[in-house]
Amino acid sequence: MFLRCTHAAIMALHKIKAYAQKGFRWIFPEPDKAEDGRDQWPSRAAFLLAAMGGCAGQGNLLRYPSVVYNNYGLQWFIPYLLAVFLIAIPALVLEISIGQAYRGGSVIAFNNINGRLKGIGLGPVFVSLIVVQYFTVNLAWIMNYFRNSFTSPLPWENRIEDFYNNDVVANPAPIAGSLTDGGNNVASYTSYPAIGLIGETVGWSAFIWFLIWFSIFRGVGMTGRVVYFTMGLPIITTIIFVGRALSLDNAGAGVKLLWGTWRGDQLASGTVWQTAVGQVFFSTGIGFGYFTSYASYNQKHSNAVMDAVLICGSNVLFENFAAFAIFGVVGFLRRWPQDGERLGAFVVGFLTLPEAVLQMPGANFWAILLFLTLIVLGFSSAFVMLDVVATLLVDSGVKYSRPTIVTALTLVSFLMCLPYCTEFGYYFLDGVDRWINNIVLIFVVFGEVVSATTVYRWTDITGRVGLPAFIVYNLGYFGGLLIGVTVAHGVGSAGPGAGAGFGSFVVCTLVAGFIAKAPASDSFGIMSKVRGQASQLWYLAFYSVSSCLTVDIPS
Amino acid sequence: MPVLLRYVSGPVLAIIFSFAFPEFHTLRYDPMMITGFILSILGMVGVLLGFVMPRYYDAFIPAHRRDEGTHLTVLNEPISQLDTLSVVNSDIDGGESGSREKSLSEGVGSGNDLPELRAERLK
Repeated sequence: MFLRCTHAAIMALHKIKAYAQKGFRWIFPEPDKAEDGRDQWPSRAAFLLAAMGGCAGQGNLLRYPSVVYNNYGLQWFIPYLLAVFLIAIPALVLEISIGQAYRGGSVIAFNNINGRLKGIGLGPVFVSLIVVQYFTVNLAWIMNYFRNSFTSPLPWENRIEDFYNNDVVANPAPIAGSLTDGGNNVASYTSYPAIGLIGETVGWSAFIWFLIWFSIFRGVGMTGRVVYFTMGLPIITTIIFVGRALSLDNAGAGVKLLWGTWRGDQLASGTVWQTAVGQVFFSTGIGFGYFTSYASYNQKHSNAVMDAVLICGSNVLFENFAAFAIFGVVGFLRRWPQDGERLGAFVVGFLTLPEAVLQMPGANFWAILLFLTLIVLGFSSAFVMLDVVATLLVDSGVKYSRPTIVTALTLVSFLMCLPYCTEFGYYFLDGVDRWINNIVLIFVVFGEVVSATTVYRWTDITGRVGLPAFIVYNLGYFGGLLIGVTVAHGVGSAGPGAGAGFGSFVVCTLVAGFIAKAPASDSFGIMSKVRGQASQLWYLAFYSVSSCLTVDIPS
Repeated sequence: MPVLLRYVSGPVLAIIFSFAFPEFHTLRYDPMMITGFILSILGMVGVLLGFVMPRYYDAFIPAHRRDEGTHLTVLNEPISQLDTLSVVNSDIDGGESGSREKSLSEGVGSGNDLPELRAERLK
């Protein structure tokens, strides 16, 4: 009797265990597998949403309105859209198609283009690893706002900037250093007297790291579900916000500032072009490697060009739609842009939105909604970055399972984010963020777009035109860039630099065309010779970027 | 599309890149800026190291996929068609396939005869 009882109990336990496992798998699905055994997205929509979630972040909701505020007027869309079509979409197509065709993260993908490009493939992983570490701390500050949104009256009433500096960031001011007169030497270095850890920031960071871990530890099957929430919620709340902002008093005047003004003279200055390229570049999120690693979980023959256009297009739509909310508020607060005054990258968002929230009836509700949106948007960009590193490690064939790798990676990254949680963390974050963005990120993308189109199947070209011509042509290309940039900075004006750079490129191109091996030809005479050399020039300049690349890497 | 990458995106990015250095020069009294700047330069060096010593990064690629970038290529032939060519080659018997291979290598030309590349392919 007793035996039978235990037997039944054991059977029941087994059943419960089986159900529990089933339930676990139902909630945390294992990803589907492609023919080659690689994990696969549950659907194309899941991939697109994850990629869009990566590029949609605070860059769209906070940075874009500030940039547009400084360059208000319809003329803004000329440089902006040119940058989208000439830079963002081509680079995006490259990143997506190589991931998809070569079935791997960026290191594997670039190794397939040429063995010497492994470093280029490692660049985006480095960028993502560093950026995700301080990005979570940024989100921890927003969590602080979120927590405070539940107290009434809102604690930042009448002290918006003070609240941000002293309650959220909570860094004592450093003793600023300076340069000597004329800027030739450093007179004194900035010093940071306070170095303690800030408990609340550490706590919220740990919370964000947990969310990140939860979203990616199980692979793209699970991530494919998370993204419906992380992309769906911000879209809904943004629509609500735009509706609310546009119904504010005098909102129309703010919207008219952007959509009903034309300032053609602005286009003559170089700044607006530079700003447009910078904005498009950072808000799209090229150079972080997540498009490549996420596309590697696609079906091999998905339409990469279409995907790139959709991702970029939705990004453009989203940020311009969200701008309506800010400009509605700008009209309501009558905070008109002043001539000659340029506001910093996130200032308009951080000044207008919390201020606008205060003015609305039911301020707490709107504050909660606003900061929830910002957190979800930022967090969906954060976990894709860590996933880039995870993909690299999982692909490299280490012996551990994906959950183990992601767990270890999350713990290490959490430890690495602690310096940003200190009483000098805000300044440390600024220092790292600025140079990672301005130097490594730009360099990595430059490397991606130029190297892939220079060394891809380069032996074909040297076989046809000879090595010397190939070297001279590329010397002209890279030397031209270097000379152009150096001269422009040296004389302090762009014109001579462009002339020098372009001039040396043209000279080298002509020399290369001249010394290129002559193609086999039956006809004689000068004209036929010129034609022959011209066709060799085509190989030098366009072979790597021609049909071969597009045919070999189906996009 | 790739034409844009090399002849539009490339130069534009090079110009934007160049703005970073004068900017750092005006901020070089702040230790945090210096730390970030050094970190960035190290990242850049890491990327460039890959050109010089590519095999140092082989650890990030599973062993069976390391040779994938070293296909034999033929001028103006897409790689997918090369695969079919080599399949055809392996099907035909001795003498004929010898002549096919010769014409293949003629098309490839002198660039592939660099000793270093040949060594990589043999590896």
